[in-house]
Amino acid sequence: MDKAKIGTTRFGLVEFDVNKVINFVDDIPGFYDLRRFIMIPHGDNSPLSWLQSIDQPELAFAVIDPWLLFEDYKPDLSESELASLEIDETTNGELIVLTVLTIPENPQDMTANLKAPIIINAKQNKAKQIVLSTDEYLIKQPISYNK
Amino acid sequence: MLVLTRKQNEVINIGQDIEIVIFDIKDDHVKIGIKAPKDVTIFRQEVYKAILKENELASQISKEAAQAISDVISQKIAKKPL
Repeated sequence: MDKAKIGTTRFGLVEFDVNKVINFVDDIPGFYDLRRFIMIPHGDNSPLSWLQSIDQPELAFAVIDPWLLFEDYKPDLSESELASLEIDETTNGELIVLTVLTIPENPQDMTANLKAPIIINAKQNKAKQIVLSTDEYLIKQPISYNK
Repeated sequence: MLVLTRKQNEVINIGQDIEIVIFDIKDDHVKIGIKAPKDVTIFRQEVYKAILKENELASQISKEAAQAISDVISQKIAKKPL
């Protein structure tokens, strides 16, 4: 296992496996040319993970498996979008979908970006934030946790 | 910016690999078909800008804020009947 270390603002010095770096095939909107990330679990029993940039110590996103919060989530990905990640019928188990969370001043107002999930081809460690064409899902989907 | 006028069914080429076709013109909107290589991303500008803004907001999240919601989410998941 080839390891490397990077400094991060939230987690300090982080060691990672260079073969597990996730390479975005396209810019994440808003972050020009910052395409290399690693996944850091938030904590032992936490459903959250972090997508940490290895090129910019301050850049990280809190992400979660969308189905933990939205059971019926059906992100419809077009063939060309899947092709851009080299995902086809044979990829099955290695397709990962992550939702980026936004936490404003009041944590109660936290939202999930269901409109633009991050899709990862875990076999090849390629990723992309794909914008779904449907209007059914919101960029700021509220997470109601009073139920 | 290059500005062109096209009629229905007419085509515009961008480079060797991108093709834009005017499919339908009706009232105040136009239906456009776009053919491009799979590594070229096509999006409605206002949607892209909204995603961009949201990503910037999302990236400001602190570890402490994440911890606060992590507990809440764990509880929510735990309460769900199997």
